Amino acid sequence: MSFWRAWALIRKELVHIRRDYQILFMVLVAPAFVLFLLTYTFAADLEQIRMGVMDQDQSPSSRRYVQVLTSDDELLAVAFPGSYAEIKALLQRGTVGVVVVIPAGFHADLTAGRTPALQLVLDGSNYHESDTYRQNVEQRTVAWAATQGITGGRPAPIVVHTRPLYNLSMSWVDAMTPGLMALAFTFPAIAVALACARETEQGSYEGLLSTPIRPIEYLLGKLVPYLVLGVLGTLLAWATARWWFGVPFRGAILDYALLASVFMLSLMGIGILIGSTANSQRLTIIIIVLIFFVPSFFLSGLLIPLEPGSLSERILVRVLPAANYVDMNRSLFLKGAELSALRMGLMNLLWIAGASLMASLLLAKRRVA
Amino acid sequence: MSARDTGGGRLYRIRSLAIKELWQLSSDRIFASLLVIVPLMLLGMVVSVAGGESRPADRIIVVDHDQSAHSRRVVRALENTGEIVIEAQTNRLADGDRALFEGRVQGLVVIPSDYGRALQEGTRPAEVLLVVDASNTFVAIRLLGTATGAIRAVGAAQTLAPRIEVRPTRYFEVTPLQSRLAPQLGFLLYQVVLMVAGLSIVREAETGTLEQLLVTPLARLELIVGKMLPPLLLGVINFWALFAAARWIWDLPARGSVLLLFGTAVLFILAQSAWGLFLSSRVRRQQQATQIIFVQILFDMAFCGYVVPVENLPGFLSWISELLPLRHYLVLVRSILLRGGNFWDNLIPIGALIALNVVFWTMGVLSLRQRLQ
Repeated sequence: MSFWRAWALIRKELVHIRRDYQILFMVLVAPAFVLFLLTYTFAADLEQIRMGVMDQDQSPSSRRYVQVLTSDDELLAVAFPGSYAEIKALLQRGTVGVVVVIPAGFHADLTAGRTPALQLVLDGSNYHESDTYRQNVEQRTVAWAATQGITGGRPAPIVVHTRPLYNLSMSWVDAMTPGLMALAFTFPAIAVALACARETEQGSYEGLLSTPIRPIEYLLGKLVPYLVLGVLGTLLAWATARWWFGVPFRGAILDYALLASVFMLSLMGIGILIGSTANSQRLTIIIIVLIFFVPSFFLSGLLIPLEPGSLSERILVRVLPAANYVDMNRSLFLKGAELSALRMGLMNLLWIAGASLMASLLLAKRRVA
Repeated sequence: MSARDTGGGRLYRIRSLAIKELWQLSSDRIFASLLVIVPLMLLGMVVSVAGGESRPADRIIVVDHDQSAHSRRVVRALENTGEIVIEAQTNRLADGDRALFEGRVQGLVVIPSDYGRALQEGTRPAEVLLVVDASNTFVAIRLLGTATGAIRAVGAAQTLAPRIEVRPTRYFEVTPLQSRLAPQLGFLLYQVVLMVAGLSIVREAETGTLEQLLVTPLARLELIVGKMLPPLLLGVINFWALFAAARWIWDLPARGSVLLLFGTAVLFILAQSAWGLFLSSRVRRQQQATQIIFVQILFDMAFCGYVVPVENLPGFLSWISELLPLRHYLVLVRSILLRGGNFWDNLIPIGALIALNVVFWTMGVLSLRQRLQ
């Protein structure tokens, strides 16, 4: 291969990018811009739960209990059903997510020193939400019970001290932003995939074939300019996370840049492979959406961590760059991880990049022949 | 050309255009099959990561410095929640710290060496330390809730004093897997529709064939109908494919009317097609359309109420989410399939979908007319 020919192609690509502000936007600005949009959905930490109350006791105790439950506006009592049929209808319509039932005799039990029982009716159709609601109400109830001297005036026998490590305030923004970067960084890779597909679709690839340019030079010519600009874009995204959203960054900025470059390289490897195999921009677009977006949201460990060692995890980390990056980037930001702790993920990303670039090279050779 | 003004001629022309569109879609055989196969594949992958039928489990390490009958009771209580998997028991804190740092576990339960003695003597509270990896807030909140509850219950069982009892009852209960599966019927359905519709006009414009279509006797309405039939048809096929897979392979309950759900799905697909038509007739090039569709999809996923509860978004953000058909459709899927909701229970989301259809179709048709002039 000749570096001069590769350099000529790089310059050609740069001219394209400079002439087309949309590409420039997609490669340089989109990572920060998309991160900005996505993070805002998590900026609302306020969680309000709409609750129904069926008070069959109508006693001073039951009224005080409801008052304490709703005192800080996190639980809102919005409905007061009179029967279980009404409760079911409320849950069915989604008006409330949980109903507290205070049975008759609640006050009497409480004053007589018997164990009072409360019932929580939950909308089980949303498993995770209903579990959060249950825990929330239970914790408040136990706390209220303690003020009523229900534990017999003795200190609670077991004290649980909790310590949320790496993110003391349990902030959603701090935890999600490094993960969402994996989604935001796909944009430069999409741009390079489209650039390859356009070349085939508009027939200019044929023109290039008639020149002495070799496949590897063509590949470098596409990859290098987009990669360099894409990495600049990730730095812009870092600045947005760090200074606009105030996400703590405990790692080293050089490690971040290296990690982001390798992630970008693996995404672009896949992008080039798709863009140069698919014979139209339309096909490229659709494959990319389906393999980048949905899996990056649901299969990357963004919300629910992948189970290490399971079959699906072992497959995903070898084909889906985001399945590695979400976790690594979080470790870098919040845990201050060093590169040595992230080498497994780095290896996986390099393997994805190497395999996909190799495959596009082989396919390009076949197209030439 | 006498057929031009009769109804039969109109139908004939629409059919020809729709056939041309479908033929173009299916001539690219990989493309056409991907449109149906990939969503199904993704559904399968989501299921496999969600872990089959089992409950979601957070992994922890118990650092037991006490090693007494009392501390073993805590371990058993944690296991019995069914939501926690104990990866290992150790008496070296450093091992636990390391595993937490590397992300192999999500939490540590540390039982100090005087735990059992404190419980026996009863003069001071026995202490347990619960450490969670809060770099994933979603998991941290869940684990804190389950583990604290389980450990406190062990304590409550040790006291003779009266305590308060909270009995949960669940209506419309589903497994966690089914709970995660239901919204996928929305996500995987609309993305394909949006992309096919969003590229429909601009693709012809970019390759120059739009002008050719304009010199044929096709009226504008016919052009729109012919162009929008393929995404609609594709949406309907995908709806039934996804629904059948979820229903028969993974036992998603269908507690309400499937026909009602299908009706709302058609409304949803129509709204997405109209939005796609609008985008497609505003942009100059496929690349630009792609960019907008990508940002749109990310936006939809973030604001549709699946990841964060949308009711709690501040002011204008919650208004934005009202404008997304996906959000209303997800409410409908959950209500009709999982809670057996009927038409009257869902007047608001159905009304919202109809209103969005009116708005989007008006926008789409107007901007296409502008484009063609």
